Amino acid sequence: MRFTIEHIEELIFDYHEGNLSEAEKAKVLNLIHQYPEYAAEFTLWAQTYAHVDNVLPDYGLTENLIHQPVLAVTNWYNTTWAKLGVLSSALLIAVVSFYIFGNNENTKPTANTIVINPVVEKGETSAIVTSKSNKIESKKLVNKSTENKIKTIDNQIVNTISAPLSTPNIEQEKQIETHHEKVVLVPQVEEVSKVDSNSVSETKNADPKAENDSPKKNKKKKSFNFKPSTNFIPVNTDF
Amino acid sequence: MHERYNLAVQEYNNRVCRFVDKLLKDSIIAKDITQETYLKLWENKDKVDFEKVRAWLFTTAYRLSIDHAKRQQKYSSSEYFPEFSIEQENQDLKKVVNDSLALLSDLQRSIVLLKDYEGYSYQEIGEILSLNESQVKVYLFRARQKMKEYIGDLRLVL
Repeated sequence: MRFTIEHIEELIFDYHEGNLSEAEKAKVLNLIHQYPEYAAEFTLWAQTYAHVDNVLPDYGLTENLIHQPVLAVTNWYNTTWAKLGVLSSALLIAVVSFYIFGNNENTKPTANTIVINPVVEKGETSAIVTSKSNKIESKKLVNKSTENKIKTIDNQIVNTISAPLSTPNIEQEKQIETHHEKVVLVPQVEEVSKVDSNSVSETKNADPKAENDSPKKNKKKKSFNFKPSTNFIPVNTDF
Repeated sequence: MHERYNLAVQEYNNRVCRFVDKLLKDSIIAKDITQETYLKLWENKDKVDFEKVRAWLFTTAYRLSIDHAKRQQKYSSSEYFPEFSIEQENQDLKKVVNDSLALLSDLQRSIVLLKDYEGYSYQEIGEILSLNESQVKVYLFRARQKMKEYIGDLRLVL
């Protein structure tokens, strides 16, 4: 850069813009001192910076422009509390649904099931029929048939025991034992079902005296239909 | 992201508004343009580099101001002449110099404001206004010449 009067305006511009070093500024000042008519020019250039306000005005836009996050809505689900809440609610729903639907399944009546519990006490047997339709009837029948059987067998045992016992009769004892064993036999399921269907005939064979005593009842029994009725609804709901 | 945006609002919103106000000589329009500038910033908050958000704000504000000025056709270097008056004997120098800005073109005025109010360098001004450093210096030199002549002429009249 040449420090001559032809470039005085550029030098004065650079001087005020801060583009010159201290040495260069000194040269410019020397040049103006040599040419005082450019002192006014130097002052006017300086006045072009007079419009600058050092105080920053407040236009009142800050509050309107600031964005306040809405509780970080887009990310609320990422919080641990939200996750725990979702998990706990899901568990609660699962437990409640299991309780509701699980209990309903348990209360539903099952298919016809027959549970036989052999009870070896005094040669007695029992059969528990848990069918829906004909629980009461089958129970009675079973009990009657078994009771009749037991009675007949017992009568036979009595007959054998009534024989003279002067000498131990091993064979008789064996017979007794076998009879007792026979008494202890567990009735099978098929026998129970047969009881349901053919209970009339078995009762006849088991107890002929009963037939003679009550012919009317037998006639009535003949009319019984022990087949399970589809329309049967037990009165007692406890069955 | 909210924090960065709000920080940009707190630090630069009055500066941007002042720049537009002095550029367009209308504080109401300046507020609208400032709000529009920050709206654009919010819409592009994922794309903007917040380390250079100041330059981005002034660039956007300048472009919106120029668009507005073109629509209004309010200021033109060949059409607008500040009124001289002998009664303005005790005129404040600051006001006079502010009036002299009206003589400048939109580009020259922008350069003067960015240089004098915001302290930007020639390179930074060039980035904002899409000019190179030498062009900024030339435009600034010519702007100051005009202002100087206006101030000198006014003093002669007074």
